[in-house]
Amino acid sequence: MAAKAKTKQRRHGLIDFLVMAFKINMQSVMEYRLNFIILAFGMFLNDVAFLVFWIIVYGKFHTINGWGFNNIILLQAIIAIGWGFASFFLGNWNRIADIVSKGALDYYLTLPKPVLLHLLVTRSSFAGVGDMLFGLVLGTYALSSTISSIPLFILLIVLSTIILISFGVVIGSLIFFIGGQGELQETLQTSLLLLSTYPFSIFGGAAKILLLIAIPVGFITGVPVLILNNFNPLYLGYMFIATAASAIVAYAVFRFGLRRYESGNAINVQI
Amino acid sequence: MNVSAYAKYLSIAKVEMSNSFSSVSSALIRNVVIVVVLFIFYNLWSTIYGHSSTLVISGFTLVGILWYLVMSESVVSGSQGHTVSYRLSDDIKSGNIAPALSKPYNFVMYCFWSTIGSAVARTGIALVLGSALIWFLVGPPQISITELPFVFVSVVLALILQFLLYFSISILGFWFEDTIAFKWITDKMIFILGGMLIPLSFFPQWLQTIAEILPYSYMSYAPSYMFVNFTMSSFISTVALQSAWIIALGVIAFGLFELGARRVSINGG
Amino acid sequence: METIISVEKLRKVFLTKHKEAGLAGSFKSVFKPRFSEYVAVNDISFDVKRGEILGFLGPNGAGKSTTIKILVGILYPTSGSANVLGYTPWKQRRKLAYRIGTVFGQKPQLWYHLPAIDTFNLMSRIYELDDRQYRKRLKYLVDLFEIDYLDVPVRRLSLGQRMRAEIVASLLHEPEIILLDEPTIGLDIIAKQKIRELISKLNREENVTVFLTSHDMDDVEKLCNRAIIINHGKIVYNDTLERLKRDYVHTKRIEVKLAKAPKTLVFPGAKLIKKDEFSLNIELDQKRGSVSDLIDYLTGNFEVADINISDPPIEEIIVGIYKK
Repeated sequence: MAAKAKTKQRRHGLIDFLVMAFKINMQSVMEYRLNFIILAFGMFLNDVAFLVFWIIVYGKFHTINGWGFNNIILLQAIIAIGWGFASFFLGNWNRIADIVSKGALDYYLTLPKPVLLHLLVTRSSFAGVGDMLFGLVLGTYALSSTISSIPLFILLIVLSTIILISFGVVIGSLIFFIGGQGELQETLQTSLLLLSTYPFSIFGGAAKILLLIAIPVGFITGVPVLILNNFNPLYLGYMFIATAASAIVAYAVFRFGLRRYESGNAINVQI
Repeated sequence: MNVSAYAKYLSIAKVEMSNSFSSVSSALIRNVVIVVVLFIFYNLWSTIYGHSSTLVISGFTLVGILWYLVMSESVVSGSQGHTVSYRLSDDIKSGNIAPALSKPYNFVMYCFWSTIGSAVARTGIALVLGSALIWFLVGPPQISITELPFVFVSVVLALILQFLLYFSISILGFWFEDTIAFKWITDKMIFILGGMLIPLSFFPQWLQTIAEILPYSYMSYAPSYMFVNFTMSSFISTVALQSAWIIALGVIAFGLFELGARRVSINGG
Repeated sequence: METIISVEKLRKVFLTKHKEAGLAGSFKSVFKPRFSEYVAVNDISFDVKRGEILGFLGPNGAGKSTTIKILVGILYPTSGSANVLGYTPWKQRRKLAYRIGTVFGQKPQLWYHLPAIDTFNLMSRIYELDDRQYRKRLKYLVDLFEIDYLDVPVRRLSLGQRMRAEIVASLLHEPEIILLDEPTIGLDIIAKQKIRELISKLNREENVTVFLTSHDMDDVEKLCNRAIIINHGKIVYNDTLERLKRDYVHTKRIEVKLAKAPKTLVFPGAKLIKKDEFSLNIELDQKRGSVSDLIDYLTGNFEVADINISDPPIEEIIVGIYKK
């Protein structure tokens, strides 16, 4: 009956829904304008502090195993824009464990939209705007002399951000398998951020392989900076493969975890 | 203050300390971050030093700077346990502070003792884990066991200083809607000017001079530097300066609290 | 009448992990976990017809929420079958979602910091409603539920106002069934009364089927045509409300606060459960004496300061059912 009449519009349904979800997030921003400004500005300053660290280090040493100051700027720009974008538009990307452990997943399960997507877009972190701004400022500075590489820069940020979000989803979905309160997930999330904010060239041997294959943190900032420095189509190919692989793994892990949740076998999770 | 009053505060500290130890697994998990940080720093500084064990830069050998960072990170990670101060701004905002003010204890002392208990515990756990990693990677620190108690004194003074600073910022909640931005700025001041991320001796001269004048360096840099470069004379001067800052920040903390508490009685909670 | 929910031998078993105390226990449970089974829902079968208001009752932990979660497709059962509007919920969750509405009393869906209208607009997109139809529907529901606070942020609403808005949010897409999990929990008597009136009005006007869980006998008494009582995962009662009232819920609890120490109580059907210095707790069998006569008797013979009349708690009704 009623369901039949609706099928016609359903093609635009998903986009309509995403637009509305974004609008409602913006309304939250307007509701707390002052808070928004404080958080965004505070996060900007927060990022600046880490930049100061690198200014001090590079004031003393001009290159770290081939990484110059400009590389650090590029690295910080990539991670800040990616992290900020994820936090602002898909604000729950690093809070999945928390949502599941609090039993708030049921809400998404009773509604007829893709669970993972719906979950991700339901929050917007104000601090993300500060991150994005910081990243844009740095990116503009680093690329001002090589404007031609801007399209490549944007492409790499898109890929890097997909990998970053996939990581968040995988780490968050661990809650389906090991339960708990989400403390472990928070720790892993922070560690991931830390690993991707230092020059990739400092890691050698086993650590390097680990960071490219086992937990491919290297693809979030390390490989993109390499490509921007010295364009290599092979590396760009690896980048695409890493992006596709992590997105597929993230989706699969979440689906598999959700199955466990629905079966009630995610026993440590509050059902 | 009489003996039973001290007993009251000591038991508060003990409860908070055992609370920090109670959930071993979550304490370990939270400190995974410090292990990751130190692993990154090991890689960063080994690269900068070109894996040389004899090279000295700005007064630090490679082993020296890594043990410095074990201490500087641990001391600050202990202060992340300032749960009382963090709760405090919320309580001020919601008015929940009023009942706490009427309890039979000095409120500032109550906050102090409940914070210092968990801060010492957290610093301890972080130190054990951080030391284990760095010892495994580069060997033992260059300090004799008889000198450790002196370092411990300076560490505790650093924790007290951090408490006073964060407490004062929470108290600003009596006047400001949200104090979170002040906290972030303070965090970053300790990270950079306090020498948590990098020793002050690596700074350009002018910045080093500024950092030495500000109190932040006595919250992380001072005890950490002492830990890798111990001399009796530096111990005495460090502890003297730390104590002076404790008095100064203590006066500010108590003063702000008195002013703020007066606002509570005026506004009626 | 058409059967729109049918449940056959539904069973849900949870595995619970055990952990011994301490660090050693933690390690042990990682390598050699011990499990025990917990049967939340134990082979239950029942039907619901279109247009019914069904009360699903039971004490906490009886299996009410597990059942409702299976019926909307959040959980899948260990064994047994269920059919809701022709769908198997755990296999066709999203299709089913377009045609049912859910309200979880303890898990709000309204955006806390925003006015309710924003959540309603979002819902219209989630359910892909036609704009014109949605406006019409919204106006109808807002009038019916007397929501004159559409533009007020939810955090500033009373619990009763919030619950009314929650129910509206789950009705925008004209569901054929609405499932309410503890909709009156935490509300005061007047707000409860209001919610009950609205649910019953909605049922009359739209013939929407209502499936409602509660641990409050009063909810069911005021609202439902039929009651299912569940205890330890098993159905212990499934019949009309009239029979339940006649056979099992024929007593009332009367709590009397007195200004003076009580004398002895002599009244047909009244049993003294508890007696304090200044209060009496009486169970009255309504087959033998009426509540109003008892109140007359009390006010005539005692110095009454306060009277409170309530139903017996669900646990005692269940004990009564087992006894028969």
